[in-house]
Amino acid sequence: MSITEKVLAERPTANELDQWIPLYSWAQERPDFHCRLNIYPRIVSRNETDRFRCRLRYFSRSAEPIGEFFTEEVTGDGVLRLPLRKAADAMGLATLDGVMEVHTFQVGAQPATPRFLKCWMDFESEDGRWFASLPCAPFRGARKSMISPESQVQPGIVADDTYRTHLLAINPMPRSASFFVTLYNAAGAPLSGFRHTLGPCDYLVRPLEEIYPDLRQHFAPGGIGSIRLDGDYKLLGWYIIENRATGRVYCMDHFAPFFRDIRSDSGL
Amino acid sequence: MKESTDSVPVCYCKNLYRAEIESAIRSGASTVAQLRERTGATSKCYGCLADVEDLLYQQRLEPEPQSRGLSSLTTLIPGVQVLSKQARRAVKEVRRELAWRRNPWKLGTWVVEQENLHSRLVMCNLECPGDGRAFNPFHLHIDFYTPDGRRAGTVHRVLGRNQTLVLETRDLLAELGLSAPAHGMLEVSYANRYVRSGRCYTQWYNDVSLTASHERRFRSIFPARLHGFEAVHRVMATDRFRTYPIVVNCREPRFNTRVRLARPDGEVLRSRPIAIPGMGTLFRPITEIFPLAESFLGDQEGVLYFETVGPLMTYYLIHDRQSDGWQGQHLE
Repeated sequence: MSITEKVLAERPTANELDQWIPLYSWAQERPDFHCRLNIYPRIVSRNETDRFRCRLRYFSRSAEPIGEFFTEEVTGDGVLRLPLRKAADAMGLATLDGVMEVHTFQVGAQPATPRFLKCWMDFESEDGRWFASLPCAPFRGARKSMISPESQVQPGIVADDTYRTHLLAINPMPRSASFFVTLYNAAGAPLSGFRHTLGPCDYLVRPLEEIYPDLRQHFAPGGIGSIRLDGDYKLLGWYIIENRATGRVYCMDHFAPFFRDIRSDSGL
Repeated sequence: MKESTDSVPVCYCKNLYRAEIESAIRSGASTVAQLRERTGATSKCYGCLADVEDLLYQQRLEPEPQSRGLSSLTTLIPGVQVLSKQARRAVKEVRRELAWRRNPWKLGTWVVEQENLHSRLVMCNLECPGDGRAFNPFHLHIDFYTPDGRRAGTVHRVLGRNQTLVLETRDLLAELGLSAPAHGMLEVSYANRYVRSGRCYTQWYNDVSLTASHERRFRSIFPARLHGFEAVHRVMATDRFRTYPIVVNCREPRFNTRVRLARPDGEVLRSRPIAIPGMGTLFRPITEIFPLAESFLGDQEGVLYFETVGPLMTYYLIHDRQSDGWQGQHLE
């Protein structure tokens, strides 16, 4: 039996899902700050005649979406690059400051595995300080073997003379959720106590040194440690690393769950 | 899947708990579609799909009571069935352990050390609430492979409870007796079975920028891409930005493919062959892979398509030549 056959045998119900699961991303669109969504279906399609479309739903601190936007179709070998300015205009909004649900689906057919079509959101500012790309993330539903989906982790949080780290947490569900943050220095000593409640479909972005003013001393001398985020249920966590002197941001990435093993099709 | 799920809904949208889904399965729902019809699970955000599938899968694995051959024994000696369950669990655990010993987790990442770009491997071993098992130190074997696929050496590290390992590439090279500039793949083998928080993250940095991504999985883990091809979706060759595709061949045989560069308007540059030695790495600016990339793309962003599927670990870096900053990400 080939590896593929084994995988498919292990996942006999995978194809019963009628479409992929949605992904979520931070959405910011202002005159001086822009987001762009990138979708390229070729990672799941070998057929140039396959057609894909994407539904965007924009949430801004409310359980119900503020606006909805359907992209144009993109073929299996195409690339969809959608400036969120275009979606905001179509929704009749001057700015975006919230959470975007990105739901790609295959037109006229069930999509192939895996469970979602990965896509990236680019963040760029007019002054050139922001030049970063963020992988959109699923809430739940990617097939992983996890110890606890409620807890997430990120090694490599930086707080030194050159860089500082921001936390970005998103609650994609239509109910409030609390979480708390623990930071560990390289030797394993924790720093904890911060608890926050996110409203429905809300987000928090804040420098970690604002949450824990002693962080830099705690991480000294190396300036690097790790973070754990524990939520009432799985929240989506990302981090942003900024150069202190220039304010430049070239780094955004997602947290990861505690894996039992890795048999994920999520890439997370 | 989370084990102690009694207090946490499986489906948040419909507020369904494990017991309700199991009850539906026991009453005859044998597919996701049937479960959706009966309970409403996996009908909105699909977030519970994996959990629902696991519950269905567990149900399939559970033998029928008649086939256990223990019904008469259970009747005669109360408690035997409980013991039997424990024994089955133990056998399953031993089998898993043996399977892992034969084929331990190997995760990989790509590191570089050059004048304007440094890197480090970062891993942690944080305790996870709700997991009662002790967190033993993580024993790691880290192999460094040069771009031509040669294993240049191995270093060992132990990662204690809640600790974070930071391995600077320049220190690794010094330990292996190698000199910069250098780049290549790090292959991390786990002497512990569970990955937990111990994934490999890489930071690429200099004084201007710091960008990070995580390992890609390979070898003991099935390929994630069963239906598509690799593509670098953001290829730039302007005065300011230059994209560097990074492709690591994670298997022993040489990987041969053709790549083509496409513009948003559909125009495609004639495809070119690339070959990556087994365990080797390609790290070159797009203008070296396609010498005409600059004039072909102009100010537009192109896409680099691979024409063959392979056991690849892929990233890209975009060099901002104005500021000397680097932005990087993994590809899918």
